[in-house]
Amino acid sequence: MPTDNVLSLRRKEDRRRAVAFSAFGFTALLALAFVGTPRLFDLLIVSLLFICMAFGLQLVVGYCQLFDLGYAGFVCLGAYSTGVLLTRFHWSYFAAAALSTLLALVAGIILGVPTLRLRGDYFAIVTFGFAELVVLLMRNWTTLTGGPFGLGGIPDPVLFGARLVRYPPFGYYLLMLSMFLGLLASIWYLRQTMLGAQMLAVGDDEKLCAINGIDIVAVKVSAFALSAGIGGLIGSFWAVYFKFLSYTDFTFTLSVQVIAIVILAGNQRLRYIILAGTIIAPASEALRTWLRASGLPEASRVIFFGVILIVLTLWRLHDFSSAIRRSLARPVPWSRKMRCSDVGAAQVVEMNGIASTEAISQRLSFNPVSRININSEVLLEIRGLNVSFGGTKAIKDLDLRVRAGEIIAVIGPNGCGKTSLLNAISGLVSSKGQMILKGRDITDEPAWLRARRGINRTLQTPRSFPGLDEMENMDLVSWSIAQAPTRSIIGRILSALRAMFVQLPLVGVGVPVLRDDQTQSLRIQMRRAFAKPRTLLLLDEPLAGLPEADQCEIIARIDHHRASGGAVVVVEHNLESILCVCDRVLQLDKGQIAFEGSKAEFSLL
Amino acid sequence: MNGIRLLLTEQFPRSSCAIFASKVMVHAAERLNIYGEDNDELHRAFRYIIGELRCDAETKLFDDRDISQFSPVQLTKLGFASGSARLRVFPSLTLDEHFMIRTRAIGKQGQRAKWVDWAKERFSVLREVPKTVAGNFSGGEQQILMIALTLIGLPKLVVIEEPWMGLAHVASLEFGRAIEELQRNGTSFVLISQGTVGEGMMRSPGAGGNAETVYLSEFRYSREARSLM
Repeated sequence: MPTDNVLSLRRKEDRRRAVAFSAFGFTALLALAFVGTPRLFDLLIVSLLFICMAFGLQLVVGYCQLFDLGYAGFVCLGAYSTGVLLTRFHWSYFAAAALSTLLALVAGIILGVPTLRLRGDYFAIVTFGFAELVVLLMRNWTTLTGGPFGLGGIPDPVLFGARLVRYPPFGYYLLMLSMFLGLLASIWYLRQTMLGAQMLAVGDDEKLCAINGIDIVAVKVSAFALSAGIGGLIGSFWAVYFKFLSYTDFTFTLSVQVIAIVILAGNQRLRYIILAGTIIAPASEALRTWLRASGLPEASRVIFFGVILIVLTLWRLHDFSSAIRRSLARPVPWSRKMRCSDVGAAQVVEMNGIASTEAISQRLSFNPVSRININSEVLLEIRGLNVSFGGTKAIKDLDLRVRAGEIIAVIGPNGCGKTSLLNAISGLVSSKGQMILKGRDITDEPAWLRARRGINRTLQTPRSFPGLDEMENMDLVSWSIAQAPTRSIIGRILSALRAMFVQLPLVGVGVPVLRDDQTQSLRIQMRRAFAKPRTLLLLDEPLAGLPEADQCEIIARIDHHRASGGAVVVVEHNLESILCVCDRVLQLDKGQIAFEGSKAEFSLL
Repeated sequence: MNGIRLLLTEQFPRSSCAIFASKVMVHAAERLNIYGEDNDELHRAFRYIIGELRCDAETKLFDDRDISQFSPVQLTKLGFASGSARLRVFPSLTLDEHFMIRTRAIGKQGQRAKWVDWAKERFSVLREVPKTVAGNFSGGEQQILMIALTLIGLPKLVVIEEPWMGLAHVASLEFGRAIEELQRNGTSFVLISQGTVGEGMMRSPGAGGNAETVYLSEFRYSREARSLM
């Protein structure tokens, strides 16, 4: 069966499963309406209320990656608008809910247009300020909102000629359920639209959005306004369900509760929001009951949510779910067709115009200072390495030995698993199989510990820490890979002195690191890579885009690293240059080794 | 000779940017390669051309229209298409969603299926990338997706920074062929990459040969590429 058809069938199967799950969930929720007790209804209504609020906040926090601390402000606005319209002006519930939603939406636009140019902490502060402002307004506008005494006597809504009754809250439950289903369908639909994709894109990379013609502010304002509108709608239900409004219900604690749900959900999937809401809302209610019974102030719930947020940041639902899915995942047929097997090594060599490695060395004026000793110790041994992303296997049952003083070139077409191999060795992605470094099993060790044990890695796109100067960037590595004595002032002086004697351009004390300066980041990354001898160095396309002079410099440094007793695994497309320094060539094909041998054997292919 | 598609001049010494020392022009269906030693100078040139960076005293004409105050979004609507190895793709979006956004940005949303097929025909890797979000693609696959998105919709001018970075040889050849195809249809190209002219021609098979070349450095010149070898 063609692979595309298999994948298409799997997608259909996933869709069928999602529909079946939704149908089951809906039927179960509906069935509860007939068998549930008033207490259970209350719990379900509150859970759905929080889930719906989280749906709204998700558009801003989850999609656009903006940290909104003022969501309670929009709920408060919606709730008080409905309360006032029902008690003072005797509007119908539908009309009041519609106007409240519109009011919150407009407030979202008014607040969003000037503030959505802000980012990060500034945006969070502004939204927090907005929520506080709304609460202060409700507290002090006593003639309209009742001020500190609250707004009571909100009548039961009349829907289609029937007045909803509070006990048992069967009608309210159905109203909340229909709101939940409506929002669920709307947000699912939004995700399929252009606007939904643009919201995600804005959250990913604003600069990239600009060159793709996306009006970033317009997209953010749309997300913020929709989010606010949903807040207003939920607020309108809040007003009629709780019957009494007090400004103390809409404080920072409420925003934190909703944020906790979004963070626990961890990504843009709606099902995780539902799951997270089903955990957080009842937990919050249980905590409230317990605090009352214990005589503790309800405000101390903030501490509880603070702890929850910290825990959830470390351990999120979708990570947990992905781990389960990975362990249950069935093998998926590999979908990639045109690989090294189609374009053989001989053709690759021919296409690159490679005559012989000696000729290349001559052209690059490069003479290796050392050669590998075939009896040298095994630095790294990998057995049965497997790396998967979702259902795709990037590396399949790979075995590899790297000896001290060896330089291995990893080659292959795009997407054959070269970078995944380096990521697995350095611990940046989870993998299966066994990894032994200098006789020690490092299979279950995290990336930072592997770095301390002597695995040093560069990234394809160089990165540095813009908050630190160049020398501090270097020191950070010394701190992480060196032992305690190096972390002293003497260590810093020594590292500065060492920097004076290396061939690559110097790094400077007090020289600021610029966020967009790629040359500077590359320089720091290369200095970091070669700072410590006798390590296993993993280089990801170190020559990409560099002028020939810099390429020669890096090749010479790689050779010196070997001479110091270290080993290098280098991923590179530039075969010409890398073949003149490497000892062994590893050609990957669909995540497996297609060819492994000396560069002489490779050249003979 | 075709008409001038893009004309850039700075009025030295008043210019605040000092990117190009002389007049730089790209005709319709012509290719301009910009090389240089300094990666960040090249990035400034890229940002300047796509409208992200503005200069005090400059002339910037696109099809005889003054675009010196245009933003990247406005330039996209005029027919600019730009991409950079530094930016690549949106990790949360799937391949189809990338095409959805791009075709919308260039006003050809109704032809999305056509351009997806066009891109998949030209770039074999796109037929085989995982059916998940682009964050799961390899670096090279992301680069190819970025290039494909830049090329779809027959743009008038394509500006790409470091187009060859991370590309395997097969993908480089496919890119070269796509450039030639688009040039035949009137698209102009500005390709910016680090290195000397000779290095650029070696790493860009099929796309370095007859291009006009600008070299950004202390010594600046503009000439037909082969004559500089």
